[in-house]
Amino acid sequence: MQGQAFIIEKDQLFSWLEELQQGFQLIGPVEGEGGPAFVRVQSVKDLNIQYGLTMMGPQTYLFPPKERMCTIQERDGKYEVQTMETAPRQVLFGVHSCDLHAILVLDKAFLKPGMEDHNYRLWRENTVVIGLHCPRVYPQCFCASMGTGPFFEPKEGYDFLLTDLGDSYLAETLGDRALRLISSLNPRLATQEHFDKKSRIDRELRSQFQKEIDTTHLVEVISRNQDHPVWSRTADRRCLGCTNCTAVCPTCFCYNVKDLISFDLTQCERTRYKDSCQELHFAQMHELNARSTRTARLRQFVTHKLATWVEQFGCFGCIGCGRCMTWCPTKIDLTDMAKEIMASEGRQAVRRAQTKTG
Amino acid sequence: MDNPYYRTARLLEIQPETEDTSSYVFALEDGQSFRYSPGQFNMLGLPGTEEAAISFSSLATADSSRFTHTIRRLGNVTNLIGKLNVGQRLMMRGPFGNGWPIEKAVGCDVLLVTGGLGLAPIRPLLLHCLEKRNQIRNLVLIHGARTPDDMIFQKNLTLWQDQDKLTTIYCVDQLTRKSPLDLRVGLVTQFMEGLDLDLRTTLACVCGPEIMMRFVARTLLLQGYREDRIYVSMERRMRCGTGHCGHCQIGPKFVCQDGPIFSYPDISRFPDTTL
Repeated sequence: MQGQAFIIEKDQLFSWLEELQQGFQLIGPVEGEGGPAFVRVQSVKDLNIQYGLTMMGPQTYLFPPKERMCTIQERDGKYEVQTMETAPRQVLFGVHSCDLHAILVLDKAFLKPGMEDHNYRLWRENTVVIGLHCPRVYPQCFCASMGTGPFFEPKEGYDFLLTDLGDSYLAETLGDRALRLISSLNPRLATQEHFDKKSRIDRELRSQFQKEIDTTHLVEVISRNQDHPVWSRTADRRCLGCTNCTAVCPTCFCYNVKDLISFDLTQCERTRYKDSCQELHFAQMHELNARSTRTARLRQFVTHKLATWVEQFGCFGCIGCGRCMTWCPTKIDLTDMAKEIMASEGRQAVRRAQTKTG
Repeated sequence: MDNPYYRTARLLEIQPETEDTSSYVFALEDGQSFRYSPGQFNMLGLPGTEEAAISFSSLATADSSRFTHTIRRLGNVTNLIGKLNVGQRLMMRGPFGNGWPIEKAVGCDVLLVTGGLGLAPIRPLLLHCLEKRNQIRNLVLIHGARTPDDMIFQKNLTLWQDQDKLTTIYCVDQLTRKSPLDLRVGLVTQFMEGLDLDLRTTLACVCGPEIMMRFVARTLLLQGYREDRIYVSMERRMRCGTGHCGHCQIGPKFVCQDGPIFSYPDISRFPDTTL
């Protein structure tokens, strides 16, 4: 898709969003009691552009934690299936770079060619995504290490990508829909000078990261250390099995299905809701539970995000947002586990080298 | 709007197999022909019970909308299917999965090892091999069950036993009664020696409980069969069949899409299996 870049003046942004509200439901970051959260916004005045990390990512408006898949009506012994026909037109405003990557990850999972997820496609098609680059780096962020930030680089997945240049916003657009939606502003085109300024901000942000992880050999290291003691030690001593990590992870796509049937047994609502690999029941079959220990379940989460995801979808399942460790009651940090494994491999390598020379 | 993914099938026939297991013959309600390959599966369900992944136990025939599932009545879905009467309808989506590597059997020996209900997903493969009997060399079926009463497809087993197109070895853990079948007592792994099969080219297809597949595969490896020509059919909890719900993942593999049939080295390298 072709993109163009414009300049939106600071005082134009909110009036433009208000204008968009005529045709779309506006969803954006709002400061609430429990911190910032993406909510359906009534008044653009409620928006908090300088927001930090939300507990639930904006992708919950593309893949709701709970949604109806279909209703099944039984009539004369026949089944009539009614699926979702359309999704509401919505604008997802203020999506940070990591969360834009999370949406790209979900696209890979749900929009596989020939195997598209019906509901997700409808939501995605009717959602205008307005990305917004983070104003600062937070302590839990490690998007720079995961290649997902602080600035969003892929030319896909969004309609608008805003960067605060101080006195105005640089608005990079993708596709015809974006051009149509911004046309009313009659914005001036951005120049090289603006992009230079953007690069300067990017460089400055990159120097602020406190959390880092070396991903060069991460896939191989995690894959060959599936019996490492860190899994059982962390699982047994610290993991409560509360499933918070998977609930807040913006790339977790696993779901379960539940039917709710009417009293006369003729009408059934089939609902899906986000499920968690950290639940005991997740891999339960009639004779066997594939992951019956907490160790196996914790290892599955970390291995999936940092290793097996790459083979499945060609990217990491972790986008470096730091939600899992922020909302973990015992602050289990998957980068710490990965680093411990890497360190022990390093020690082994040193020992091997020593025995060889000795 | 009709959902194109859900189809309705009508129950045509029930053939009891054992006390808790029956074969259910269905036909698509729309009468369209239905193509599927041996080893694939359907998501079967009724409103109110969600769905369960069940393998085909029949071989697809040209221009037919008929298909058979052999089902043990164990959970919500299967118990409800067990209560269906002939003529009643069922919802289904499918076929899903990759199926047995039938093209790899051409010109080679084929060894099928099954345990209990594991014979059901192998049956279409065996029928396919019998249909194309001149394309493959030796054909051996080793089937084990707990007792003679737990043997499914008794008619088929008797028929196959009497044919010289294939070698059959049937065994049970406990010989609780006399049986028209030639039954040995023991585990399938005890009867895998001395088979007149070419170690280098034999295609071994194994289906049964995971722990049984583990020992069958390891016995085959000890005997010198080629690792990459051993195939197993994996079972996992599934919600969608389309690689979205995530339940069936083993390492990077989605059992519903990349499987359920895997070559042994391809799947046994991951944790969280008993292989």
